[in-house]
Amino acid sequence: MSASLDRIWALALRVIRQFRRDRRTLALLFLAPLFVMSLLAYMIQSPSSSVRLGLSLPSAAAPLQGVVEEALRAQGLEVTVIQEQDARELLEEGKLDAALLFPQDLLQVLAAGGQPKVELWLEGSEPSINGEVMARLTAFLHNLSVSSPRQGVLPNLPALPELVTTYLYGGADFTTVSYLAPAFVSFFIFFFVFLLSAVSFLRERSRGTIERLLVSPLGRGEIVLGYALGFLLFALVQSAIILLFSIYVLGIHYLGSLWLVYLVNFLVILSSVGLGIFLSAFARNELQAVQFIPIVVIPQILLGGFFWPLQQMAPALRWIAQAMPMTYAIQALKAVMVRGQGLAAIWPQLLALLGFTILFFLLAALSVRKMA
Amino acid sequence: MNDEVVRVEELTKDFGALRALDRLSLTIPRGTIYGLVGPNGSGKSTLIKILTGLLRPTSGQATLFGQTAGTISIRRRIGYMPQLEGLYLDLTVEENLQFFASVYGLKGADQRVRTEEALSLVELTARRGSKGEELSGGLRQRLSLACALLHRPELLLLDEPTVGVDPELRQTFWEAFTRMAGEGTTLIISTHYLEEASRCRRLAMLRDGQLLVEESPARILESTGEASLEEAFLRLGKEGRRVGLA
Repeated sequence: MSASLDRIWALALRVIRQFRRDRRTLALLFLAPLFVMSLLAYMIQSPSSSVRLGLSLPSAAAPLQGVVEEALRAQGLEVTVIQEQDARELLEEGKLDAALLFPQDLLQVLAAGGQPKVELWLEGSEPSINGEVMARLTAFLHNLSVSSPRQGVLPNLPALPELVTTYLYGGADFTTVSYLAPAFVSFFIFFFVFLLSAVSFLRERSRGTIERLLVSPLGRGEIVLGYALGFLLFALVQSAIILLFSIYVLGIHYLGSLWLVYLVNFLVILSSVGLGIFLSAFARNELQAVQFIPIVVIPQILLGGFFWPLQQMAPALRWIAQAMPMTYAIQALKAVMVRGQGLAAIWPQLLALLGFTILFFLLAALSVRKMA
Repeated sequence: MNDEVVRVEELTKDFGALRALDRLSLTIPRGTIYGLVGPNGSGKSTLIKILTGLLRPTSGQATLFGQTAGTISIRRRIGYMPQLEGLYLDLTVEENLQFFASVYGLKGADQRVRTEEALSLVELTARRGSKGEELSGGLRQRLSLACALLHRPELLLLDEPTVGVDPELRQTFWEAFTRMAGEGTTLIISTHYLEEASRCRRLAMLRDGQLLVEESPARILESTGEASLEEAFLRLGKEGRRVGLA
């Protein structure tokens, strides 16, 4: 039988008609890329907040201070003058990203025509900030020594000062994968648990089992808790697999307690089940549940601190990021795995995750009613 | 009245501009097989869903065992068979029954006995190990019924329980319904099959959310002067008015 244009057209028309009537899919098809691209463009274009640098110059070099500060600011660095002995504490407390410590014998070395050794301490847990600091300081040193009009200030500078870099966290052992691993661990758990709980709950609706459950003595809260418990087992196994794979196969370097990693994951799982059930109330079928990915999942990847740390984002984006559970999970896991910090450092994040869990559970329990 | 299981008063349910139930009032005594008949969209399922608590009425009242429909304390006393099959297709026949038994708090030997009972009633004992997805529509319907009556509820709400069930098994179902009613169970059954309707103690015929008639099948035939329920309902439907009950 030869192909008939009419038959092919009839089928094409059916497909067109189907999409024309599914307004949500159409909106997603046309608007979601714009939404995600705007987010991305805004993130890339918005001036990242300046890197916070502590500067310590020996008191003998006080006359140089103004010039040095100005040259650093010209590189977009936010400069605070500090005492050398405070550098470590300020970095640990997260008040600085890096500290530039000029040696006590700066003037003598310069006078002797030597190459001064300048110490750079990096907080180190954010590779993108490390890179930023290095790039800006390289430019700063270059300007200082060679081609800038300020060369009159340091006239005797024979060569680029030697920069001796120390990482407070991270450092040479930490490959890019090591920095990304904490984010991966929580992201995969969030993503799969969210999607699977949304889809399984949709099935309860489409097959009518939710009606039986709602008529039974099961309370709405019990339904949500039962779901969470069921997913917990598999998601915990999944997170163990991801962790072990990252450590033993990908060879990531990590510090801190794996139990804390598990505790964070535990809360991520619970909040994801709650969010999945809640949002499944707004989908009529599995396709529509999958459509939550560009709206719910992708912004959390972009804004959650996966690639860019929160502090480098424009304030408006930071606000959005703070309303997302992934942000706190990634912060907590980075603190544990990259910085080796403990419960004392991550309790605010744990509290935030607990808050999201409770909120999503309540919303889920309320939405279960709607589903009959 | 102590013997009254269901009381519906001036029950109205709107879905947007559509009035699904219109000031419906009725009472159902214990041990009754109460049939809900009427064309598609007449409000049968809406009424059943309000009685189960799945839907809230726009106005009016529905009480079961003297308590507002949907109250958690009376849910154990109710069994519900939804129009959608309401089964877990990835579980076996037996696992479905065990799950719903657990939901109703049946454990151990009790659970085993009830499961066997329900399996034999719907003649699925031989298929206990089959997954839901392997069952035909009729077999799923049987399993669905088994899940609804597993915990021996005092009130059974069955939304078109015999759709897709062959005549022989339908006969078995009705024998079981009659036996249960004899034991004091109250059954509310919506159906399209009028030969089934004739087996009900009382019938409510709905149209456009209104109660056209509420009587025993015999009295309906008598008052309309028709030979069959089918003709009686066609006639009542055409007249489209409430029939005063003598």
